Amino acid sequence: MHFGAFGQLPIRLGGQDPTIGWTARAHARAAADLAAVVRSLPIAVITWTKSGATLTATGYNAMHGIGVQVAATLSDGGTGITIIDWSTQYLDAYEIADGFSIRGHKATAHGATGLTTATELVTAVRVRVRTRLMSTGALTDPTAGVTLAIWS
Amino acid sequence: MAITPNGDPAWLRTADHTTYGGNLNKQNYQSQGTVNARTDIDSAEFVRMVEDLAAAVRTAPFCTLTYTADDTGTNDPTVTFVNMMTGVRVLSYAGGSPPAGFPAVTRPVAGDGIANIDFDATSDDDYGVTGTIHIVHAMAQLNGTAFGSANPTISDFDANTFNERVQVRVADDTGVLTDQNVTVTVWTGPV
Repeated sequence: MHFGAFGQLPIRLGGQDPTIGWTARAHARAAADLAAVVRSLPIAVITWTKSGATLTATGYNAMHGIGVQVAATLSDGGTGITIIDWSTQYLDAYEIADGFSIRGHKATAHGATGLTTATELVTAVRVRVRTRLMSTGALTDPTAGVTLAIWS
Repeated sequence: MAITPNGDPAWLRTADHTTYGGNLNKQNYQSQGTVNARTDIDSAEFVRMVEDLAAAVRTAPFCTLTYTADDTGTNDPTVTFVNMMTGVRVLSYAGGSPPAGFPAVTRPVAGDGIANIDFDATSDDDYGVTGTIHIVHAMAQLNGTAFGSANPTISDFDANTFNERVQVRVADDTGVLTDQNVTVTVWTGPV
């Protein structure tokens, strides 16, 4: 099922022993499932807190990297309003660069106070999130946090 | 078990392309290309696959579940669906009696409109490798026709410095909402 005695690349699919080989059907399933999963996963998920002009990212999971040190840029858009900016392109580990256009966006405000969120796509790489009190509809800073997920 | 896979389970988000066999200098053995595209995987195809897998693992939710509260009856919520990195559950269960590996969803005392979703401190992948669960993102959605919002709060309820609890509060503009159906999605992060 492979060139020579070891499974060098190119990998030759096949074989009967699942402990030492990779069958064509198993590979095809892996390839199809990976393609399917990549289509539906968020490009990035970010959680932050906001109090006035102070914004703090507390978590960042993105296809281009993990951790707040690589997080998108947060900026203050006024009371209850956060602006989140991504770079126009990112490099993968093999230094293949490409950008993305945000098409889906969804946010949830955290905490014990009834809050609603509304997300707005401003540009292909910028999202604006507004947080409001359920009781009055007034804009209010999400001091307990907000989680935003984006899809492209 | 004959083998232990590289790295940590997916929910620790520590994997990169090298964990899966990627290498910036990957090449075909003795520079020989594929003989038959129907049977052979080229090095360039392989590294794209492992790089995309690493990217996907970073943003995949750890768990999405849906529950229905029973505040009127003062029982724990009923969990109807759970999709987790560690398993999928399509049969409903009483939130206070979760099957092994699935989260408990309980109603705190005097907690109308509130549900505590508690995950195990650790979980094992399919090869028995243990990974700590540390929740860093949470989203909640109120389902149905009621006007209101579902707001999560992440916390470390067992004081082990990692977050395993998501408390969800469901309310409208006047106060808590009872007996609602809610979908919650959580993501984990590195520890």
